[in-house]
Amino acid sequence: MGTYILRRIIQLIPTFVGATLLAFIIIQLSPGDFFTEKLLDPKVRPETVQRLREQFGLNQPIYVQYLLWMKGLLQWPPQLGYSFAYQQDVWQIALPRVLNSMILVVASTFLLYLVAIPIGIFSAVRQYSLADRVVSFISYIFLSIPSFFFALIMIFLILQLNYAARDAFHLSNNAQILPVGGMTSSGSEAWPGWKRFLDVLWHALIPVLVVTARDIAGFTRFMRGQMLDVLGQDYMRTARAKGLSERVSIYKHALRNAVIPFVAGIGSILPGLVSGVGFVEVVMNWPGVTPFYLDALNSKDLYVLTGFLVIGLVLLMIGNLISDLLLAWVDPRIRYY
Amino acid sequence: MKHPWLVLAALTALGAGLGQAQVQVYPQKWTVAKPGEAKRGGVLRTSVISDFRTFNPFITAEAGNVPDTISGLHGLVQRDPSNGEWIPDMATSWTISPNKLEITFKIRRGMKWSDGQAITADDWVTTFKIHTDEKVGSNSYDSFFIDGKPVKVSKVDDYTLKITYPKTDAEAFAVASYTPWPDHIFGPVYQKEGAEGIKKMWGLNAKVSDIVSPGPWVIGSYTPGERLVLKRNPYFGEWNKDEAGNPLPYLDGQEILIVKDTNAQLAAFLSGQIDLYSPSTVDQISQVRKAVQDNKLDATIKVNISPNATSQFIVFDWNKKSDPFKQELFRSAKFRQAMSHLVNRQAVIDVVYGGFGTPTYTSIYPVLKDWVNPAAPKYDFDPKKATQLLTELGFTKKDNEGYLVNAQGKRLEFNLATNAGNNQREQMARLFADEAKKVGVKVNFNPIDFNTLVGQLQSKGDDRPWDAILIGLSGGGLDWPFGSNVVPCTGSLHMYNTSGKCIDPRETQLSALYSRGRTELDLAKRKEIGNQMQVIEAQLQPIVYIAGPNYHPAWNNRVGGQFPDKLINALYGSRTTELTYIAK
Amino acid sequence: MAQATPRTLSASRTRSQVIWAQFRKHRLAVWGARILLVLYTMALFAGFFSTYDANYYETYPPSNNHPPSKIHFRDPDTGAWSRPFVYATKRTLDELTLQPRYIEDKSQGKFYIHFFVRTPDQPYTILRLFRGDLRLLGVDKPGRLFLMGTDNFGRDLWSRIVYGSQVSLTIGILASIVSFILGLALGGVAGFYSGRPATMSLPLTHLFQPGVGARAWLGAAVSTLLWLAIIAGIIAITVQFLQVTHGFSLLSLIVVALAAWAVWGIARGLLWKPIRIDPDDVIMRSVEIQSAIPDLFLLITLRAIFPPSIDALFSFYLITVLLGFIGWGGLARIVRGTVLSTREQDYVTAAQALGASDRRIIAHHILPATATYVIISLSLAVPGAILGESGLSFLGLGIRDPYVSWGLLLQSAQEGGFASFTDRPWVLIPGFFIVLAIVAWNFLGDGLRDAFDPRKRQ
Repeated sequence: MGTYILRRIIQLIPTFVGATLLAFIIIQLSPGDFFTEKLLDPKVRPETVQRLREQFGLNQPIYVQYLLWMKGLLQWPPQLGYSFAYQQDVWQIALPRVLNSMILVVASTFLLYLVAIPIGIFSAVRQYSLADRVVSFISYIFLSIPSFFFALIMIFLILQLNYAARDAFHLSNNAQILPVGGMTSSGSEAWPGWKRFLDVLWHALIPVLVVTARDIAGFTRFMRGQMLDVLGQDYMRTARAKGLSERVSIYKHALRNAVIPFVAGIGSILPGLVSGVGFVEVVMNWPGVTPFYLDALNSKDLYVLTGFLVIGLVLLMIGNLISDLLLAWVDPRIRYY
Repeated sequence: MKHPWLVLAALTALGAGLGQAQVQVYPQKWTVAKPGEAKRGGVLRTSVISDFRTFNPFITAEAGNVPDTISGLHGLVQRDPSNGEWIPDMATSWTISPNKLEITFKIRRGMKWSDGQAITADDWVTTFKIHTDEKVGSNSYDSFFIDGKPVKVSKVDDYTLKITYPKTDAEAFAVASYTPWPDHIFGPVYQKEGAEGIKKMWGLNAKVSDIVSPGPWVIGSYTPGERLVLKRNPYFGEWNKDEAGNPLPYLDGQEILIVKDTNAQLAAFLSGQIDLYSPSTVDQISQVRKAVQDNKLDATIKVNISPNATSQFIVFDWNKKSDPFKQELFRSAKFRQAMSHLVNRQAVIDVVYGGFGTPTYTSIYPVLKDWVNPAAPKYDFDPKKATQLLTELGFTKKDNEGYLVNAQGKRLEFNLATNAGNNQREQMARLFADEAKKVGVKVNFNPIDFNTLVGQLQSKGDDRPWDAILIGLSGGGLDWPFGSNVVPCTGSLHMYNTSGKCIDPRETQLSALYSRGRTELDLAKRKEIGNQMQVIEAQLQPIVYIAGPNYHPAWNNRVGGQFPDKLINALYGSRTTELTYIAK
Repeated sequence: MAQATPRTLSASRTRSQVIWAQFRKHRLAVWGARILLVLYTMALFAGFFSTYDANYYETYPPSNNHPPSKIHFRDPDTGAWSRPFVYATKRTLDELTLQPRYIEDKSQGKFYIHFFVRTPDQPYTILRLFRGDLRLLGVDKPGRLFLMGTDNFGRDLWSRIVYGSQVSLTIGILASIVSFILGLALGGVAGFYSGRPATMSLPLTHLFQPGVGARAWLGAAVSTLLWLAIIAGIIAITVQFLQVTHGFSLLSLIVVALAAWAVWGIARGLLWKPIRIDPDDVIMRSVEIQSAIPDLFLLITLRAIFPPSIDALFSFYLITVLLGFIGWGGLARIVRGTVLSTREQDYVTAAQALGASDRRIIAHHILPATATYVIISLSLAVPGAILGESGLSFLGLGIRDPYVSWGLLLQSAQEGGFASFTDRPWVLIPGFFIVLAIVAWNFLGDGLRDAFDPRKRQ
């Protein structure tokens, strides 16, 4: 096992170089750069744009730009590069957004596992019962609604809820039962810590539900399918036959085998920590990674894009290594050489 | 009392307001509030669509940026929103030299930075120096050059400033109206570390109390991606008062939410979380009007109060050496007039802008009412006239697919591109292509990536890779509203012909008239030249203008102090924040 | 062998019969199949089932945001039953919302709904092979029949849904096929051969040993050239790096050391100790590399490379397939994980002991173990692709005019914001079709999964 881990760590080097080089080239090959938009600004002369490109090194050959960037990355502490838009280190501006997104990611991942695994097991054990069918049908509907659309529906409903509550309880004209977006309330900067914490939770409620609803459907389907597979296996019959209770046989024997595919896919959870929860953040106005990243994407803010890419890549490589080790732990039959 | 510090700030402002500054009085005609009606205190809540990038005035580039917001864009002179004329602001008076190349400004006395230091001529000089240092990369760099020759800003004494222009310029005051930034903060750094030092200053993680402002606001706090809180600059009220002598601004502060999604922005306004809102589509307008009607929201909305200062247009490529047929076609004014006859501007307004837009016929935005020449010919939607013009060009027969062909059997066909992802432009192009098809012109519409599109537009030489592009421009001067890089044949945005030489004699004429107008200081004469240019533009149709959206400001009725209706338009907005107050 | 062949054949016949019988027992799956049959027929004969061309609209009189036409079955004056008909409508602006409102204009008389109408002004093709202009339903002009209302152009939404099904029902499958085949094959190989490295070079010292034939010489030459190219690449990058970063530092020392170590390793392999590489490592590391490829930029670049004269739909499909080539990583990892576990099972070891070939073991014993996961992820990948396409429209990279897809229709409903709920709820109808298709696919998937599962058979 020791040599296996060592080999994997050595392999990180060529993988890292290959992946970053490929990504860098593809981003740079796409037409235009950060300053292209300025060319259509009637106030800016093209010479000015040319000069800006030179200042930011965008006029150099791609491989030189890559190597310079790589040099920054290899320093300690690593430099992800400068954002053209913010003219600041990428990490500094990205960090607060990553942390904001993490609130949603962690909360919804936690909720996902808490809810989806029992539902999946339940659906499998009671296959084709009424409850199984209802759960399946609901999950199909969630699968069919894009999360950005679901978020829009939620905002609309919250708006109506707030209006109704104001009428019913004679509240002031901007009282809210649930917030229509954002992460903190106006003026919350001055509040004590516990109140701010509750405020963020209050704001996070709906986005977390929307994100979980999006992911839960697929996860439940997989869990149900895997459990059905395992429940039909001979060793399950043996377990039942030797008098083990249904609960023990399910949780001790079946679950362990059913989760193998999930353990194999666990590596992609780590990069999820920095990648945010997607369009939901935009629609619900959560100050997370997605709006920030989309901005960079639209304006081709090169080093913001590559910065996220590198962090995601490193986390994925680590995640995959962890997942491979976990695989061997969950299923002792698996051997690496 | 949520904001104890705001009350404190208000008290200091009152106490400090007793100095002997040369006071600038905001006229009553800029607000609907009756004298004495405005209350003091409260926070105005607004929103912006894109996050702030920096607090540094020298590297900021985005619209609605922090330096512009806190300074209130105050400079030596400002425009009177009631008539567009230049009036004193941080200068009290000025004299123009006999050769009209120098303007000497008398700077208002008693003005202070938000840290209490006096605002003097050095601040303008340093600001100018830093803006024009090319290593800084300031977005204002180009505004200090006229035809590539630099403007000079020099100090006569602490309260006198001289600006020297390389040639007489209609936009002289616009150049002079730039906002000063503190010499006592930027000057020493610039001297010691140069441009690199300046670029490192005032980033988003700078201490907000270090950010010094000349205008009505200072930064209270900034939460990345979420909100910017501004508070009143107590020193601003010493030299800015209303007619009753009350220091301005009335508000304790502002809270600016960053809301990236238009639906989220609408939701925030509908639920009373933000006070000001500019709906851009009929869908948003209808939601606001319905909420107001149902008593769910106490707000005012002014539908269709003015056109917006943007234009959307189709431009044809005159440099197509490898395709003489198309080159000849695109260079023909008759062809372009025919194309203008095929632009169904009313349908564009109905479909794309939900009924609320304004047709455009020349490069002057319709919002510039004083500048639009009503006598310029219009080639409005008329397929019959288009067919007739095309017949005159030799397209008399139709082929078996129903498209027009000339005597040589060449089909009337071209490609039209616009930037993918811009739904409004895609819809306009679709409408145009469909109308063209009805008379037998084959338009192959193809949305492409924005950067590719710009690359094509900016390509140089006598053989360029595109036929026609639908795109839009915004921005530009108000004193001489023709684009300095759009109209002259050598301009970088002279999109239809980038060969660097004028091809059509009327193009040459337009270039010459542009320069004449730019150096003409007499407004009436300048307008005369402008009228002439619009007539030529209309006949030549170098660019086929389509239509633009309208401006519909809305505000929650808890805020007051907006402009009277006739002052509200897309250029000046619905209010000045200095005169805005919280009514409820 | 000669006897065994017919036996397997007959066995497989019964096997498919069993599966079919099993499948038919699954009522929901049969329903899913029926719904899909209807939807795909609709997509194939879109021209026939739609009432108008997907892009047909009239600028005068405008019909933007027209609600679904009210179909009358009774004469409003006499109350007598009649053939279904619609009235022409008149457009006004709602005073409050400023949105268009349509009221029935009875003065123009009734417009009866006809079956099998010819619309010569709007011809269509089936698979671009057969031309036609016959449509199932229609009304005489100037009457208009909008079964599900119109969009902001005044285009008939029902027709757009029908045409949109062509893209939405195929894009998911197309996107999945390539990546699933690659994911299964490479994941299977990686898992099965994990820990069994393949020799990737033939060192000089080994070449002169007895029994080394011409083929080995050829292989050695090719592999040596490849390895030499890699050495050259490493040296070039290192030299460039030193040039770009100017001068020596600890960092450049480390880089040089690493490069030297890599070159030494390869050189040793070329000279005396063969280089052995684990296929698992190669495949899984390429999964990591390809995960770093920014899809959106690849898409933009591909879009920019294709000449605009290429049909937009064709290029979209082509790009989808190309993206499939880099989208197999996630599945490959999971298949590999399952295979790693399965290959140690007793029945696999037994098959190996019986001398079964690797290919046979992978195909017959190992991959079936992943069937459940694969079928479920396929039935999830289809909705994923339909919705993903709408996300691309959001960024301006998806399907666009004159083509239409359900995702695009849903996307334009999103753009209308709350007005889509309050002023024109009919624009949400495409969402129901998406739900329908996805439910049908998943029912079918469930049925297939059960049918293939031998343990479920009674």
